[in-house]
Amino acid sequence: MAIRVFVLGILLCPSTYAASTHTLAKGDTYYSLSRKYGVSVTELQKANPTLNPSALQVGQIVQIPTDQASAPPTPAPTSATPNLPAPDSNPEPSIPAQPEFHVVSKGETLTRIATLRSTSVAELKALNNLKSSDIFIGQKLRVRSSSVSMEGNGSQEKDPEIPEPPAAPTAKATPTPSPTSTPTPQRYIFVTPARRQIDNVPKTERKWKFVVIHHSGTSTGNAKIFEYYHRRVRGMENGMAYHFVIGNGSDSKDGEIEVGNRWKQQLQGGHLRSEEQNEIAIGICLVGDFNRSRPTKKQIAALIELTSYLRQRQHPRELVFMVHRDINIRPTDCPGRLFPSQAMYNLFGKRK
Amino acid sequence: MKLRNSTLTGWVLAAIICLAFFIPWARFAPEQMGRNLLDLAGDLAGDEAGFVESYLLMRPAEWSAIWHNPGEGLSAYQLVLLSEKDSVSAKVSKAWLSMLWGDHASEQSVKFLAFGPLMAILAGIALTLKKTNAKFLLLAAFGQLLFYGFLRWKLNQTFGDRLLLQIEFNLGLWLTLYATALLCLLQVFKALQPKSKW
Repeated sequence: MAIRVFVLGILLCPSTYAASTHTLAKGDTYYSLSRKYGVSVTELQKANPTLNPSALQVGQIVQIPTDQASAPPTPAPTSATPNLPAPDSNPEPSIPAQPEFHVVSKGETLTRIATLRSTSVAELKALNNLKSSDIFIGQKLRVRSSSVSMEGNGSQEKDPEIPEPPAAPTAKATPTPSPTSTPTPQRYIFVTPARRQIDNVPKTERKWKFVVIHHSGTSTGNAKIFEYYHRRVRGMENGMAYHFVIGNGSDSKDGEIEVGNRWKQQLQGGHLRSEEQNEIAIGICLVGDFNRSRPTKKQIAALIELTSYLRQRQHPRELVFMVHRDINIRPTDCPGRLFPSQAMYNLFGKRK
Repeated sequence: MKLRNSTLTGWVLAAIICLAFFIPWARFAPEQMGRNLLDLAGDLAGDEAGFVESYLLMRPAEWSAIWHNPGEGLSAYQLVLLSEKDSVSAKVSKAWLSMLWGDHASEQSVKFLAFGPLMAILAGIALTLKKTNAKFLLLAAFGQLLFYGFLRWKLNQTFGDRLLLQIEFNLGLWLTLYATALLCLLQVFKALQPKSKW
C-alpha cells in the first residue's frame, strides 16, 4: 500500500518526481531507468550493489542516486534551476531529457533507423521494449531520450509532434558585466583567446537579431587595418564597420577572431546599407576575397564557433544567421560566390 | 587481332571509368546530422592532410566512408542529370555543384564530370591504334592528368563544405580517380617506349 501511495505521488506531483527510489515495473531495465532519471547505468549499479542488473524483477525497489535524481525529465523551472551544474563542470551544455520519436515509414528497418539516428539496433530495441526486429509502418519509436547537444546541427530533423525542448540551462557563471548569461566554456578553439573581450561588454548589451557575414574583398587585412581604413579613409565615426574580424593568416593568424570596438562598446554596425538593420545586426568579416578563393578551413571553423558562441550568449533570444547579400537592401555579391553560404545555412538555418 | 597487354589494360581501365560513372559518387550522410557544431569546427580546424593524403591517397575518413554504404548515393550520371531538376536528390547534386564551383555555379558546369568517361574512351582508342603517335598519347595523358588534378584540387578545397553539407564520397568517384591516374601513367609509359615495342 505504501508503495502504491508512493507511485501515485510520483504520478500526480511532478515536483516529487525526484524520488530516491523507483519501484520496478514491467519492462524496466537499468538502461531505461538511466534514461528516465538522467543517471548513468554505472551509478545505478553502484547505488544498488545487492541487485543483479540482468535479473531485475517487477516490484523490486531501485535506489536512484539522489544528487542526479533531482533533475526530472521535464523539469519545472523552479525545481530545475538549483540543480544546474556548476558552470565549469559541464563540458557540453545540454537540453534536459526529452524523448525523441521516429515514425516508421515504408521500407525502413531498425538498422536503417539506427543509422539514421546515430544509434544502435540494440539501443532502439531497449528503448522500445522490442523483442524482435519487427516494426510496422506508422509505428512511433522512441529513439533517444537523453540530452540533445545544444550546439547540434540546425538541420536536424524534428518530429512535428514533439514539443520544442525547454530552454537550455544557460549556466550562470561568475558575474560578468554582461546582462546576458555567459555560455558554458566548451571545446572552443578559436573563441577562447577572444572570449574575455567578447564577454567584457557594457551592461546595456544590444538586442541583436542577426549575425551577418561579410568578406573583406581583399586578400590580406586585419582589424587594425580595417579600423584605419574605415575611420580615416571612409570617415566612419565609430571606426571599423564590423564587430568581429576573422583572419586568414595574412595580417593576423588563420582563424584568429579579432573583436572590434563596435562590439566592445555595443555600438551599431556600419556594415549594412540600412541603418535600421545596422542597429540589430552583428557584422562578422572574414578576411579574403571569396570571389577568387575560398575561406580557409580555420576561418570557417572560427566562424562556426563564434556564431555558436554569440547565439548561446543571447539564448533564448534568436540570433539569425545571414550572409550580406541575403539581407542587404542593395544588391551585393558579398561574401563572394565561393563562400559556402548554402552549407552555413544548412548548419544554422535559413530564415525564409 | 591480338591486343597487347598495355592496350588491354587501357581498355579495362577505360571500362572501369565508364562503369564508375553510373555507380554512386556521393552520398548524403544523414547520420552526420545533429553533430555538435564544435566537433565539426574542430574537425575542420584539425584537418592537416598533406600532399600525399590530399592528392594521391585519401583521408582515413574518406576511406571508411566507402565501406559504410558503398551502394548508396548519386552516380555522376545522376549528378549531371539531376542538376537541372528540383528534388531532394537534385539538392545533393546542386550541393555537389556548389562544392566544385561555388554557390552560383552554372548548372551546366557539372557536365564537366562527363569528361571522365569520354577521355577514357579516347585513351583506349589512342592505345589501340598502331598509327597513334607519341605526342597524341602524351596529349591524352595530359588531359587525364588535368581531369584528375583538377578534381582532387577542388575536392580538397571543398573538404569543409562537404563536412558542413554532410556529403560523403563513394566508390564511383574513387574508382574514376584512380583508374584515370593509372590510365594516364599507362599512356605516358607507352609514349616513352620505342615505337617498335608498341
